[in-house]
Amino acid sequence: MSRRWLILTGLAGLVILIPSLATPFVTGNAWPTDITVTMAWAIPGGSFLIVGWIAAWRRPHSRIGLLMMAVGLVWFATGISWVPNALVWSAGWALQDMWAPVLAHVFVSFPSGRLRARRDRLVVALAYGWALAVDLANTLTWHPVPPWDHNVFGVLGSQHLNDEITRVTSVATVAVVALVVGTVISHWRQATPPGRRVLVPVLWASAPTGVWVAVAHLSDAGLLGGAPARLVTGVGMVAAAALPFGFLAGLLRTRLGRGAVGDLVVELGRRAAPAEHLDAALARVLGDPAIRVLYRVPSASGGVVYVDAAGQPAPLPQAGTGQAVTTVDQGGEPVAALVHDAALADEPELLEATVAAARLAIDNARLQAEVRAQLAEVRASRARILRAGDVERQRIERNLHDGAQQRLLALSFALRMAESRADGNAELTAALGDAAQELKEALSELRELAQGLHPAILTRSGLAAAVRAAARRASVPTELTEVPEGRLPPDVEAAAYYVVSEALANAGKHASATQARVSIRRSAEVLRVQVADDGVGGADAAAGSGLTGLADRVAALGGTLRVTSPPGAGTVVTAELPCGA
Amino acid sequence: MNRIVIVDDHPAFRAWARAVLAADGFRIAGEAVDAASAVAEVQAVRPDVVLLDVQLPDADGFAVADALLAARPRPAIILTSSRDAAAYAADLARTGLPFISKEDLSGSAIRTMLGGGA
Repeated sequence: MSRRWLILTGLAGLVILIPSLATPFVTGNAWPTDITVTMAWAIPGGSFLIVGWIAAWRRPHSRIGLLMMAVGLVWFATGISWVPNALVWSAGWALQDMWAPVLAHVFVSFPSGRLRARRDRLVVALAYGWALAVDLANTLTWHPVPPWDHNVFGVLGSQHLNDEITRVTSVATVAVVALVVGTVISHWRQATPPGRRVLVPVLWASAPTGVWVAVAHLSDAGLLGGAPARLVTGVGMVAAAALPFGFLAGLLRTRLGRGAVGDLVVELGRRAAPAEHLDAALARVLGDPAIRVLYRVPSASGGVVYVDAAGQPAPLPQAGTGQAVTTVDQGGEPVAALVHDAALADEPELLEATVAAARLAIDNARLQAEVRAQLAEVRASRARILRAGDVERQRIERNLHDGAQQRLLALSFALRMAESRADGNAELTAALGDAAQELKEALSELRELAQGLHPAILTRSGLAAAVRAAARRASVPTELTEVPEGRLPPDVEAAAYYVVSEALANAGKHASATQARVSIRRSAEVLRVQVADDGVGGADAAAGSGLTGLADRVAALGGTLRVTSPPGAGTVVTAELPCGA
Repeated sequence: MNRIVIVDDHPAFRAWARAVLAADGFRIAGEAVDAASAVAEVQAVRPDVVLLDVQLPDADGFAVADALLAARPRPAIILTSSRDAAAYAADLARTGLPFISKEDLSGSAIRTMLGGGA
């Protein structure tokens, strides 16, 4: 509803309210001329109209204000019974309790004014249905005695029947009220902190009304002895009058939240807030511990993607998850999204003010998140390139083994068979023997080439077996002090194996070592690979040697490679590889 | 202990193994080119020894070995491959089966293994 319409309805409300308040005095009708009773009647209805109007003005997207105004209007509709006409008087009386289900509607749908759950819709429908049924039964059987006017709708039974109906229905009405109260309490129990902040004043303010409704109806049912009717009515009116202020307090409370926006500005100004602090600061200001900012950054595939402060991709929440999204725009383009509790969506001004206050911090955090996302992507792509290389080397190794190596092997068998059949021909036997020897060397070289490409033993038998084989093959006597038996992720096994084989090769080729020691130790999260030799030292991982390639391989897995190699004092290569699940 | 079945998908190796083993006094009881035919052949001819390639087109030699060891009478199994034993260190240690690289194949090597393993 637009604000212009609200102004008009506000004026219309006053047009209805003022004459209905004035009517009793003008007409001189006996009962309501008691000013205290009149006020007790006018104040609750008036507060619902006014507070409803304020709510509708402050929360144009919420229907709650309109519903509260409806409570006030139905309440005052009873006022037509002051018109001195039997039909109008009777109609006014017939409407006297119909404000109650509208109020139940307000309670159950607070603060959005919408009935979202099926159970909520059922409860409200029951409240309306029950109120209509009771009202109809009551109106058709009520036979008032003088000084009351004649009830033109009272066409059935007698006043005795009416008393019976009142007695029976009152108890059931208490049950319906209890159902509504139970629904509101379960809303509160399910609510997130921002949702509770809005509901709490409403619950406090409605407790007296709930008690009054119960007392009044139990008293009607004759279960409380003869409580003084006038006292019950008076207390009830005061309680009902307090009620809309509970709703107002709920709404004002969210308005108070804007004061915290100032604190946010101060806090964000005081620290050079990194992105993580921004989420925490927003959580404090908005009272929503789950709030976080997601940043819209270019994705690797050329599109855009939302990432969190750490640069990790994070999808926006779907509808119906209890979370809502407020986008932060810049030049008409969304640059970030505030993912917050759905209850906060009822406070758009608070969100707007917060976003405005945090805009600079959000911009900074977005740049930070973008860099982090890029870094994460580069890391991931480096690991992918490495893995693709390994897969390719493994494929070539297999092709060599299954293809060339098998053919050469077949050839060597054929040669050896020919050699065994060349009986007596010494020249032929010698020639075939030479050929077989050549072929054997070719096979051995080919096997070493394949082994260098990718050790089949690593894939087949795991790190421990591969490292043992490497230690046996090494040109330097090598002691294996510790090696974990179980299998590890293939990337980690390959990196650890290459560290060992490269370091052992260096120990033999460049360091003139006389012995080497290999130890591989696995802790919960890290595989620590260490190769030490007693050679000449002076190795440099940065000097473009095989060690540089190793360092790249280890870094691609998020690990570190350290080379300690003082001249003349041996070399220690230590790699730490993350291997946690 | 001299009836042998040769299981390998490479004809050249089978021919060489036939010649080498026959020359050293083995009787070639049968041949198979893959896991399925190996199991059938071993059940049909009940050899004393199976020379089994680790890399068969339809299955892993170690899996075939497990199946063959269930046959009665149980044949002796010797695994072979063009790779060296280190490549299969873990599986060989687990199964405790003897292994000979294809290049080293000879009747006397087989007999040594059978003698040592028996």
